[in-house]
Amino acid sequence: MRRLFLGRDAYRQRRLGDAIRVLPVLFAVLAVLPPVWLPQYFSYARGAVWLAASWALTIAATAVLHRAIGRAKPEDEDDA
Amino acid sequence: MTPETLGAASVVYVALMFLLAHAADRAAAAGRWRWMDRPVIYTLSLSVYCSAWTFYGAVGYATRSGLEFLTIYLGPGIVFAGAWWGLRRLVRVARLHRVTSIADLISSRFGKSAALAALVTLIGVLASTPYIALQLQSVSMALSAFATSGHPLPGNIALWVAVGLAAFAILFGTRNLAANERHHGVVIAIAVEAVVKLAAFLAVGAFVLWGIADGPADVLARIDRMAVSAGGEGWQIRPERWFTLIALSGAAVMVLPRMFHVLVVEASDENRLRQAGWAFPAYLAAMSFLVLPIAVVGMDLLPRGSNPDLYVLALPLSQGRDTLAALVFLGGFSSAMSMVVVSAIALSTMMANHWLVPLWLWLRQTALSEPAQAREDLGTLMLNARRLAIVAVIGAGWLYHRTTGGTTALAAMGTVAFSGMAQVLPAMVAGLVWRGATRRGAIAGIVAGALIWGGAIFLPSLGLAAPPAFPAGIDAFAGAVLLALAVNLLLLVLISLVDFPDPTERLQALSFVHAIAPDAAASETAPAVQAEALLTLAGRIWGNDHALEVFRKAAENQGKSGYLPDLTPRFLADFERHLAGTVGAATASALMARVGGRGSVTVAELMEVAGEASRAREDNRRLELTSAELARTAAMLRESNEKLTVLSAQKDAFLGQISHELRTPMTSIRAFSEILMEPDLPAADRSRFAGIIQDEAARMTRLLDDLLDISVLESGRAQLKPGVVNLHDLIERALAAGGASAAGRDFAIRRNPLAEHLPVITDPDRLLQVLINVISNARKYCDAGEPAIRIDTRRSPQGGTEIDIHDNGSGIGPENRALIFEKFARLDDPSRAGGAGLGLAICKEIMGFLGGSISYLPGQGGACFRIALPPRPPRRAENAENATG
Repeated sequence: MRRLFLGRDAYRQRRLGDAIRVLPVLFAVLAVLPPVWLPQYFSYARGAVWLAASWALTIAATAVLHRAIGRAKPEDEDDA
Repeated sequence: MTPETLGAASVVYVALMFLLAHAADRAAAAGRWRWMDRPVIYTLSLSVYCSAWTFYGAVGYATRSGLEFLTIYLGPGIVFAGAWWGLRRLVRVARLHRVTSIADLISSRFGKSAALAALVTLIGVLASTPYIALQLQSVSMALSAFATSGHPLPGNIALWVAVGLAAFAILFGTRNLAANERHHGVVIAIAVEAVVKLAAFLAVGAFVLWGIADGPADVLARIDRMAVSAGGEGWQIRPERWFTLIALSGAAVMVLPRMFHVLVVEASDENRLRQAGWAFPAYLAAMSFLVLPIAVVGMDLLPRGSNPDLYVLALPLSQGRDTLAALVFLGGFSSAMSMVVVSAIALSTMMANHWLVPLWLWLRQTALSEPAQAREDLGTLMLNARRLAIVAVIGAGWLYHRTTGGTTALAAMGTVAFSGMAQVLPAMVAGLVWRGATRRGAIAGIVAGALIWGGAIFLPSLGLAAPPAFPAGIDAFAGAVLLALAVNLLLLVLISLVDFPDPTERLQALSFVHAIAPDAAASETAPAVQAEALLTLAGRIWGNDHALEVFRKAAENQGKSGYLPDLTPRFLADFERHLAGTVGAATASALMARVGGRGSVTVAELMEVAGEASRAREDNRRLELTSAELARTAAMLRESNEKLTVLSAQKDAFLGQISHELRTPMTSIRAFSEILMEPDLPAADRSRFAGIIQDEAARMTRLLDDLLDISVLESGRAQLKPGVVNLHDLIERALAAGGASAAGRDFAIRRNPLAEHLPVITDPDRLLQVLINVISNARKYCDAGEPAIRIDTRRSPQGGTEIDIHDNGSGIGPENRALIFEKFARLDDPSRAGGAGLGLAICKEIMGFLGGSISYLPGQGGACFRIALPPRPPRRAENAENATG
């Protein structure tokens, strides 16, 4: 049974989970929308730089968030 | 460097991998697997996604279509960014159900359907065939790049590669029939191969980027030059393909049989997704972005007409870097090898579990539980089925390669596989998030999607059919993929909406969607099953030792010794899942049915599960109520115990007090009567002493009267004689009586005679008694220099009567106010004369008897008692009867 209100640590943990959910959506938008919208603009070097930068940022953010969620005491995990 | 040298090097390389895998398997068997069981090994094993397609095909793809090749890696990048959210759920559910393959997952979710498992297996085999062909083609192509003119290569390289890889897969993939489908040796080998291919690709990428080109800026400039060059129009991004391919690759990284195998089946726990979630995309990004320099530099440097799929080899060769080229070849060979081996293992498990074993079971309608029946061993049979399947899968890939003639672009072959396997995705995702998705819906969706894929993509890729004609402006591939997926999803949803799934399916749906363990309570009853028969079955699949171990543990958990546990629903469910970990859920269910003749669950039994749950909840609630009631009772008991203790103490004090009060006059009576007995006592003394004796006797009598009075009042036996009386007359009499009894002092009496003329309905004698008592108290205890008594009377708003009696003394201290109405509560007062301290206690009893009250009013500048009377006295008759009766 999930509790309705949580203490500070568990609350932070939940928000961390929310951030992890947002990440793939954000990256999908970054990777799909610009090339689909402006193909001639993103087909060459500019597109390559754009995709490389947004992917690198996503990977870095994923690494940071996954580390953070691992450090926090698991709140509802049943698997160590 | 000749192709022969490279061939020999590959053989040595494969031999090394054999040794490595063998050592890892031995270590695992000896229980020394733990140090190898690390997240980094898991992450590296995921790189089996980067097959020869990535190694050779991606460069060709980029040369022809520009940035579009990136879509194949962006899709997995997006999926893994959400690894902790989505993939973790998938891994958790799959581990819960000991899933052995993607076909097993979908079959298990949709009611352990054998038909669905066979269908998904068929699609997996069909879709993987071009993919495996791609790997074989890439190896022979790569060797041909080293060939010098006039020195033709042997024509059957692809065949020999296929044979070698099949041998590897058979040796390490079908070693034994484990209770879970994990292959430690293979995983270690592909992890090492992942390092080899990354190192090779990084080496060639760095060489091209800085050795041939002038760093990243130069490469970007070359890319921008493509926009205006002759072959540059293919680089223009086509939005529908961009979007479709990202979606396809995102699906592929989960549903391709080999990806599902390394991602889900080989995962020892879901926690390692934390590392894989960023490390695997980083691996992919490194591999994919190095493709760009190789592609553009190759286009600039290499002669027109050379195969862009081989730029990655041709570039170092053209610069005379033979060693680098050889390393690249080994990297490409590694990627091809790991892909073929893992695919073959995953597909052979699916084919054996979902095609061959069910077929065998259907052909032999014999009881499996009879040990005497044929010595053949089910486990060996299954392993042989897998070996056969591996040969078939790799053979089919080789056939595809032969059919297409080895000329197709690698990337085109890869996308055929992706789009085919993606037809499984809607059923998988819906099965994990929607309880309402049903087996019939899934079958209809997958069949329709696969048919469209077969007709519009697969057959045209073989040259057996013409590609579909879409309206101009729509890409044929993207159009066909989106059409197939749309029809697939639509049928899945529509049919599920009108369908009513059977109970097994609904149980599985609940378990999959909410990631909770399957409900053991709902398991089918198995009256006919004997534990021994199950043990025999398990022994024939896992071998006797392992089976005995499983049964001994189960018995131990039930607190029994020996090897035959009770056939509880929980044990049967666990056993079936254990079995499913080897042969798949559908086959396990069929085997259990065969051995035990288990009936299926009925809808009524399913409802019963919910009924049991709610009954448990109801019991729980009742228990809570009872315990709350018990707590209340205990509190009440505690309270009355306290009261009793206090009362007992009061009674003791009362008896002690009475004895003391009676003893004091008694003592003086006895003393003076002894003196009276003296014969020569003067007459004056004699009469004085007799007077004292009389006074003391009177005091005793008064005390006894008071005691009788209070006991009569307390027991409720007093008689109420109501009458109407003028309050003014009553107060007159009380003052007269009080004045008569008081000694000496002059009191000023302040009254309001007019206000006193109030008719009162009460027992006049009793009220008079109270008034006298209070007034004489005031006279006795008022310590003022000029003592005064004030009497106020009024009607209360409720119709009662209030009489306030003040004096101007120092009053009663707050600490004593609670005590004055208690029996024998005498305040230490020197001027007190006579009385046993029962006066106010009697007053309180009387007022209660009259239905009114007497209370001390604080803050009036002296002692002040308020006597309150109700409009009419209560009816006492029946109360008295009750009290006596």
